[in-house]
Amino acid sequence: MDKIIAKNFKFENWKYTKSSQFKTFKNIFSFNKVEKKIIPKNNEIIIYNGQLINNGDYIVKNNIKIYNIDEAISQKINQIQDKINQFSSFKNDQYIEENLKNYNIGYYLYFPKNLILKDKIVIKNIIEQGNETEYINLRILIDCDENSKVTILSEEEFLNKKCINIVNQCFVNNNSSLEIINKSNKTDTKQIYNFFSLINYNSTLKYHTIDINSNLVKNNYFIDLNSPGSTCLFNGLNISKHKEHFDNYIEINHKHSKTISNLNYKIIADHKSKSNFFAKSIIHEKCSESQAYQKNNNLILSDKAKINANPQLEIYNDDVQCSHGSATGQIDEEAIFYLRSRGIKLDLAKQLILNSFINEILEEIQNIEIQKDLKETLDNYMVL
Amino acid sequence: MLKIKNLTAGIDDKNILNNINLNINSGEFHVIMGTNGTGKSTLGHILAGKDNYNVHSGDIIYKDKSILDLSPDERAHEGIFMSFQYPVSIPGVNTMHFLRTAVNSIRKSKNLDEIEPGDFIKLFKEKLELIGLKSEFSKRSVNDGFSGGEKKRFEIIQMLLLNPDLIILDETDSGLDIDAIRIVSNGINAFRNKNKSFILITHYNRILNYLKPDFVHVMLNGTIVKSGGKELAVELEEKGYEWIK
Repeated sequence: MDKIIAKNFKFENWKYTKSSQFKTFKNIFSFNKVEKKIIPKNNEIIIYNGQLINNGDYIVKNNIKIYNIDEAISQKINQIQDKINQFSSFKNDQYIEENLKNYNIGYYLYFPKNLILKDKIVIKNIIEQGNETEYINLRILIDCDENSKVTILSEEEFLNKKCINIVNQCFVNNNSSLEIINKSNKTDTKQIYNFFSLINYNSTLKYHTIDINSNLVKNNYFIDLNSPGSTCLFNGLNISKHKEHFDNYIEINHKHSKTISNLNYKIIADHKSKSNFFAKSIIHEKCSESQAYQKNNNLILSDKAKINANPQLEIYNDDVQCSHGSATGQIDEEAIFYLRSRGIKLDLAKQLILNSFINEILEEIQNIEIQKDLKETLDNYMVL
Repeated sequence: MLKIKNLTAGIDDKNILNNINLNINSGEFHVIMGTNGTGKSTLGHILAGKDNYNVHSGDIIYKDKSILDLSPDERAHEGIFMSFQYPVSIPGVNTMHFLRTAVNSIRKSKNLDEIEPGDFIKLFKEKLELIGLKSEFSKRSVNDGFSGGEKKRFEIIQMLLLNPDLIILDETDSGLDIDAIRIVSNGINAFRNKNKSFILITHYNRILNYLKPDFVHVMLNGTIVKSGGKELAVELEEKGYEWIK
């Protein structure tokens, strides 16, 4: 395993994280079967310690199917293996290979054609078992079929110390719109997270990821824009208050003309935390009339916190619109003085500024209920 | 209400203000005029408590107590307000949320209950109308994308809602067109009474056609070199500052 980790570490997307930080990712954890009765809400899918517990009525009524991945592959449901084979980037990454070979938890979620959902779907993944010397492989495939419109709130609750290796894959088929909001509570978790998405003709993926409260996190996102009208809006937020290490790599591949990507990522780093933002938007040779935008703003709140920012554009076509920018700084003292001169105490003034910084990300979330809930969570988390 | 005694202050060891003396009683309206870079805005910032200035000697007595050790928020709680020459933009902080937080902070310092959201919205909209701004303004972020005139009007709205006793108006008239000067002046005049004191920093006599001052002071090289009535402002406009030097 050590040799293989060394191989992984050569990859560009592993530039800011050392292999030794994941030395506990050697032996795979086995779940103990524990019966637990959890009653899901109407729109909830609950996975508890790897077991699919139950689905709400809204899931059943809308014909949303949930399969074990092995079962879906062996029964050739929706030609799932063909779709999986379309992903090429992961073939050299050992953590991804390990996950795909030996996943403890693996579910395939299928959203049928012409499904327009008014309410969000909540995927609640609760892991109580596990420890800091063995790791868990978790894999979820989301398949959003043609002409569908779906919002997914992915809630991950990883309690106690855990090592988790996640591969999530997501297909957005023609004329569809999928919005995914990741909300997690992973105190003390060490995590490797790989996310892949294929976005097809005239389809949109809106992906929001809010990372707080972890120990060591290596996130890799690979987004492929495959057809005209393929669009990805990617919003990310990292808030680290202690000694967290967050490492985010985002690669967006424009593989066809008339594709659009818009990436907005923000980091707040305090105390002795370390956060990395490395983005690469690649517009391939025959992909004219494409648009790629990257925006990265970071706030650094302590002398000992570190942020690495590396926004890159690789453009192989001259008929495109692109921009990228990155700024890292401290809280604006002029703004603090302005607020204090209106009677607002220092701590509250800082709070308002930090909230304003993160609101730009939260306000991109279309579902107002989720947006409000996240604002509340972050307001409580941000209390200085 | 305010006594500035032998105030010498600046940044680090460098003096910007030199031995300033100024007495302002309740209900009085004072104007400070002077050339660019002479320390007028510095005086405003020092009164409001900006902490990157150092007071080297002298004192500022407000309502019979020295305020040198008070933070900007504590000074605001005591009733000091400065309308900024260049109000800072704070994207993402909603105007109404900001102002309700400010009003409630000041109420809390006086042991008063928080204002009900519904009551505040009504009050805010009343003030917007008085200063000639649309109610959609309440949905915008603080000073973000505001025109110069909108920023200055928003400062006056803040003054009306926070109800301070000592108001420092730092070039409130700059960037305003003639109609806006009249509207803003009407807002200030409606706020004037025997308990409120004003210091207006300005370069132009124009706004003084609407705001009748009690005293006009001329500041040069960080010190007040001449004081008089409104006629001094008229004289300055005609002759410039050379004759005082």
